[in-house]
This record gives sequence, C-alpha cells and structure tokens, in this order.
Amino acid sequence: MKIKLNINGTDYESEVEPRMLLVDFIRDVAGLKGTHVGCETGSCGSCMVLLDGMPVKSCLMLAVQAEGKKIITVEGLSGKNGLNKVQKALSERKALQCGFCAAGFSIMGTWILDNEKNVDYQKVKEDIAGVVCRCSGYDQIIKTITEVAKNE
Amino acid sequence: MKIPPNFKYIRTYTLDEYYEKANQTSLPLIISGGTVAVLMLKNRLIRPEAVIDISQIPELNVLKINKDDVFIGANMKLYKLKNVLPNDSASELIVKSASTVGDIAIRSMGSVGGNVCLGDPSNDLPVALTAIDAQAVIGKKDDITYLPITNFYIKPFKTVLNKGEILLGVNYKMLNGYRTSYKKHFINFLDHYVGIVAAIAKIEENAIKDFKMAIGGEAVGKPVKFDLSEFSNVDEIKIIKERIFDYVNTMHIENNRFGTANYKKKVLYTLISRAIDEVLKL
Repeated sequence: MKIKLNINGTDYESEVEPRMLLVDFIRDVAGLKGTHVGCETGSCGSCMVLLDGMPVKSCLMLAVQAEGKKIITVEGLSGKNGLNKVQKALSERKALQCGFCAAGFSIMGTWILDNEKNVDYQKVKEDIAGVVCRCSGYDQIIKTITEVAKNE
Repeated sequence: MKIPPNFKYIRTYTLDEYYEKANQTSLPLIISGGTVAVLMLKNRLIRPEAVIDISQIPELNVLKINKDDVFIGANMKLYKLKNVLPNDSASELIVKSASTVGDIAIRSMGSVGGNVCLGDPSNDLPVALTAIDAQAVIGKKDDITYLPITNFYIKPFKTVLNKGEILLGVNYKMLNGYRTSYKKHFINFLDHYVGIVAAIAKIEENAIKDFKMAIGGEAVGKPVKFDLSEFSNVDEIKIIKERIFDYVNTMHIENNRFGTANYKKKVLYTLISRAIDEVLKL
C-alpha cells in the first residue's frame, strides 16, 4: 500500500508492505541511518523517534500506523546551527562511549528538555529508563541531561 | 532481523466500519497502539489474516468526566492518563498503575484498550480497574454492554470479547478521600510480573469505612477481587492480613517457569502486606 510519512519536515512517499516496521521505513526508504535497530523487542530504545512530539520505539510500530503523523529522528534534532543542546552536551562531556545508543538518549534528552518540569537526577533516570547503554555509562548521561535541563 | 508475517492492513475510521470489517475477516488482529501486537507479529506468535487499526476511531479517543463517574476511551494513551484524569482516588490508582507500564516511549504508544484487552496476567490496568469495580464497556453492532471488569477475563490471554465486538472503553465511579496503593514484583529475565496488588481504602475517625483490594500477575492468571466488606469495622491490620493470606493460601497457584507455587504465594503475601500497611495504617 502507498503511504506518505513526514520525517524531519520532509515527505517520503512509498509503496510498502503493511508489515514494514517504522524503523525500516526510516532507515531503508528515507535513508536516515541514525535511528538504529538494536534489540528489536522494544527494550533498548536505539530506534527511538519522536512521533507527534512523543517518544516512541520505531521497531514496535508499523510504518502504516505512522501515516499522517510528524516524525523526528536523531538527524532532525539538529538545526541550522548544528547539534542541539542535548547532543552538544553529550558530545562535549563525552557522555556517550560507543555511541550506538546516541539516537535514543538524544531523543529522550530533547523530549525531557521540552516537556519535563523541575528536572533532577532521579527524574532523568526514570525518564530514560527505556534506553539501554551497553557501555553502562548511565551516570554521565543522566548528569549531562540533568545539567542541560537545569540551565534551560 | 524480525519481520512480521504478511497480513492485510485495514484502517477503520468509524465504529460501523469496524463492525463491518471485523465481521468480514476470519482472524483479525485489532491494534490501537500496537506495542505488544507488533512484537507478537515480529516473533510470529500470531499470524492474523488481517490487522484492523482502530486508532483513528473518534469514539474510542474520548474521555468523559461526569458528575460521579469517568469513561476512558479504549484508544486513550497510557501516558496521557496522568494529565487528563480527575483528581479522585480511583483515578489516582489508575494513574499509579499506568505509570508503571514499561517506559515513557511504551506508555506513549500503548493504549488503555490494549492493556485491558490483551488479558496478559502481567498487565497493570486490569488489576487496578478490578480493585475499583470498574466496568468494561463493550460495543457490538447496535448494542452496548456494561460488564464488571472481573467478568471480562476468562483465563490468561482470553477475554469475553467475541468476533465483531470491541472494547469501547472502561467506566468507573469516582471515589474521594481514599488512600491508594499499587505494588508489583517483576521477574526481569522473563519480563513478567509474578504478583500485582492494587488496594484502595477509606479511613475515617480511626476506623476503616471501605477497603477494596485486587491481586493479579502470573501467580493468579487473571485479576481476583477480594470481598473485604466484612473488614469494614475491623481496625486490626494483623487480622485482615491473616484472613487475606488464608484466602490466597486456598487459591490454586501453579508451579511453572515463573516460579514455584510457594514462591508466588510468598511474593503475594509480601505485596499484600505492604499494600495493606500503606492504605490501612491508622
């Protein structure tokens, strides 16, 4: 069936099988490889994107379900001035190690910045529970997001 | 790479359209958020002929707050509940249970209807809804049925919903001035909850005026409601606990991969004890 998805402000129209996952559409049809495929069970959060402003795991969603919604991937977080605040802070503080989970933490960090009030370490820890870092560098990631949020 | 089997995708925009399509299809899978359904498809645990998407049906997206009761449409996202439900105690218990579902990304995809209809013993809302005597609002062509949520489940993963029927939402009475508690115990490597306890109680002048409790999780299969009216005037927490423990002890709890019956009972005792301490402490 033919679907049209708006990803990072650009419309992508394609004939797809209904069984195609959103993450596969993003990577293979739109060619945006920043969204990673990790566990494929919705546990690791590497495939996290924003769907109409809310974080979702794109490996747990069919592409056809996302029709008519606005999708932001990790590539869409950065604007004309380069990386956004969360991405810049994660990079500057060397919070990420291998970087496989970067998309998930960048998306969640940005969502926290835009949506959460009275952010502290514990709040960020709870909010990022859906993203897994196998290098286990959580402390630095949480501290970085907390600091950026507090400076907002 | 996990790819679901082939299926026909049908997006419905009205209830009438849903009833028509559901009756025309022999083995439809109904999805709203799709978090669990897509995972089951990917693991090829189910091979439906068609997937019917109900997320665009407006009647299922509503929240109705009346004078005494609340109706939550089946498509309401779990994440939204904490922002839209009223400030009463029954709603507080629902929000407490919904807030423990997965993580934010799962809660922003998962719907109330999905959580209720799957019938997975590990699901959270059924236990909380059982504790507050909620009703399942079931729609079928030209008819709407109100069924106590305790009668909605037949066994794990099996509800009373028949072909062509749909859960329109859940309905419950608002309760004010109650204390609430929601507890559960997780087996990480099996991704399931052994026991879930939801409790709600009203204490006035150092006496228990009302006390409702439900338990769920793998230990019991489907939510079980305790009839606690006999305890209304008992202020001895120890006696209440002993009576409930005795009841749990008589329940048929199986030994399986989630643990021995003895282990599951111990988990339930602990959760029940903690929930009672939280809501009944005078």
